[in-house]
Amino acid sequence: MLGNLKGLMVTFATFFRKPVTYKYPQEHKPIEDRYMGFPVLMWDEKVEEPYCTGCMVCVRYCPTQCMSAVMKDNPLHAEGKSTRRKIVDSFEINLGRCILCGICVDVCNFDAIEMSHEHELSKYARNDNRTNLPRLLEMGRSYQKESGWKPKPVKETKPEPETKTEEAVEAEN
Amino acid sequence: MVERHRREEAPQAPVDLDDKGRALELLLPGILAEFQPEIGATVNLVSVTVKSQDVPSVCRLVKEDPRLSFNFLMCLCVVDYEEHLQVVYHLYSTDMKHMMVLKANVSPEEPSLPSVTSLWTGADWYERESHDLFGVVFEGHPNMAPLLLYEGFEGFPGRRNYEMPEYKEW
Amino acid sequence: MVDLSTEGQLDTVQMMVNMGPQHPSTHGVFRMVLWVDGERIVDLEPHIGYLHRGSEKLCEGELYVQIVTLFDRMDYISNLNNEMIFCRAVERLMGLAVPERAEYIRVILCELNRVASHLLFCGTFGIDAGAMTPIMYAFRDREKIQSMFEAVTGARMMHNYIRIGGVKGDVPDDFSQRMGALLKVLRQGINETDKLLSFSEIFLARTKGIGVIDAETAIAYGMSGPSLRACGVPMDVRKDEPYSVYDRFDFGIPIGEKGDSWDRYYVRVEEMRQSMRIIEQALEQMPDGPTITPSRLVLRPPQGEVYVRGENPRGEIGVYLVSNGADKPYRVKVRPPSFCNLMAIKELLKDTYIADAVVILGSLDIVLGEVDR
Repeated sequence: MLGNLKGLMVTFATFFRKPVTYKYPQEHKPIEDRYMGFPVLMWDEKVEEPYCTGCMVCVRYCPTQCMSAVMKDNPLHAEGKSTRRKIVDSFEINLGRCILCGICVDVCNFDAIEMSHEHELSKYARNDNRTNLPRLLEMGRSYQKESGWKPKPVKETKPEPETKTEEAVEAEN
Repeated sequence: MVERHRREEAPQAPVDLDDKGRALELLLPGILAEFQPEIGATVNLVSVTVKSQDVPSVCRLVKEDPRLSFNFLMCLCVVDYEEHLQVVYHLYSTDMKHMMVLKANVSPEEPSLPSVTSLWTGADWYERESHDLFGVVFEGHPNMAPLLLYEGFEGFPGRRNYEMPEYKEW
Repeated sequence: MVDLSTEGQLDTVQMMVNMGPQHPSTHGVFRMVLWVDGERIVDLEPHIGYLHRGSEKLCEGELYVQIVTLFDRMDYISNLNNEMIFCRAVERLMGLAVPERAEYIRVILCELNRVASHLLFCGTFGIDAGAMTPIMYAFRDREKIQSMFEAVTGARMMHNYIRIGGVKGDVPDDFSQRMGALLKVLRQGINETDKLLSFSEIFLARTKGIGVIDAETAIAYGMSGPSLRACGVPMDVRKDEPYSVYDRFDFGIPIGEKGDSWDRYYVRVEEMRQSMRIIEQALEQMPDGPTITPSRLVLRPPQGEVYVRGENPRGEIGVYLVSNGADKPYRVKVRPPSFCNLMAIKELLKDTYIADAVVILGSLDIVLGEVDR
């Protein structure tokens, strides 16, 4: 009897506290700065092109093989506006397969991919979460705006993906 | 991911036994002399390799000898080395707090060795699992029904030569 | 089999009852076929493997950095403990030293994960025994721990934070402040959950003396962790074979007396308090410095095999790692603690009442993701 009464006391005490729950669709729980949502591609505002060169490092190290990327010659480099000789042509992430591990961000040499705060991506069809390059860049821009993201101050490396062998990429990491 | 061939033979990890391990290394050859064991060491534990038919008698001996008293079967697993399957027993003693590895090789064509469920009841599911995944038959096991796989599963998925079905995204 | 002649003169018929695989109290997909005689369980046959994903086989095809994500998903209630054991196995094989600060961060987060895991247990065990309220309290506090994980690791459950050679990044600047506040809240929360559930007469009637197992049988089955300590065996890897920096902390190992369901429950409650003590000491001692030993992304550990042990919330976890010097392991075998604890269910459930089956199964605190791998 005593044990039950003690339990009831606890219940009474919590009557007078503030509720700890959020009314979800109307109210959102605040997200921490480091929160890892879905990966997005970043936009270089100085040159007006994506940071991504399509070097495929992230594709290779993805544990679930949820990405694919294609590289092309950069037209802006020919015009002398950009230092990137190659640029991403198409990029697809199947966000339905992505496990949000953040390995792609760790291996990226060009600060091109980041874990955004995006986490609500319910869709109606099974493959609607296959996200293509324009959508990824759009998500990236909104993340850049929201978080004030800046590229990491890295050592001057020439982004020359085609001369970079796999071994060199490994050695860098 | 593509398999890249290794350029040179990989180095061997150094053996680094603790005090209990070194004491066991000295103790074990005397106790197990009649089974002609190969005493070696993994990175952090003493390992003993015996013939597969000797496993229950060796296990009984190391369990009942007061200097060893391995009363806890920590882990039982099978490693497929292609030319032979190796059944690995990790034994632990709750009194002496030391640990050793017992290994026995069986052939991949007809892998079978006596069960140790009569010594450690906990070997039950481990042996069923090994039977599922590697096809090792443990003689004298009370119930060798599939544990992790469904009944009627073809092949032994734990083995190196098992061909994974092609993945299809749907 | 029960001797039916002692049951009175009435003829009884044995009946087969299928419990699971989709049963709310099996904590996942687990099936038990029970043969019952009236209310009494005569015999049973547990069936596992509904969640078998072949994690060990998958590990053979992944790089070492990628395997950490697989270990996250094995015991999905205590992810950080699982990550740590795999990283320790690789570090042991390579002889890689881990910076002091990283070790402390690991210990703090692992112990915090232990508290979260045990809180979940207290809540669900209350439900198993028929008490609906404690899970609300337990989840309220667990939620705060998850938010803390989110702030440190970036994810609430599948962190991929502990890396080979250290941790992914340093903790946020306000870490110790927030931890101090969190510990205060947690201490109060655990006391409340404890007061609400532990000594309630109804709960005691449901759990005291139910599902008793003696130490010798438990050891023969390979039970470990709180389930074994409830039988009075003070076996804890953190004390027996201190790994990481556990030898620098002063903490106790709570043990039970009888080995019944209540002991298994209360050992966990006490363990949470001990974990908080460890966290407090670790926060005080935490040095400055780097948080990771840089290593190559594609690791090629030397040839050899290693077995490392660690203490998970559910019991003792072990990883047997065989490397042939390639960038992928040759064989990874996990000793899953709940797998061994669940094996003893046959012993525990025999000759008990069918209403107690749920309580006894709940008291083992199994995670099916780890049992089936």
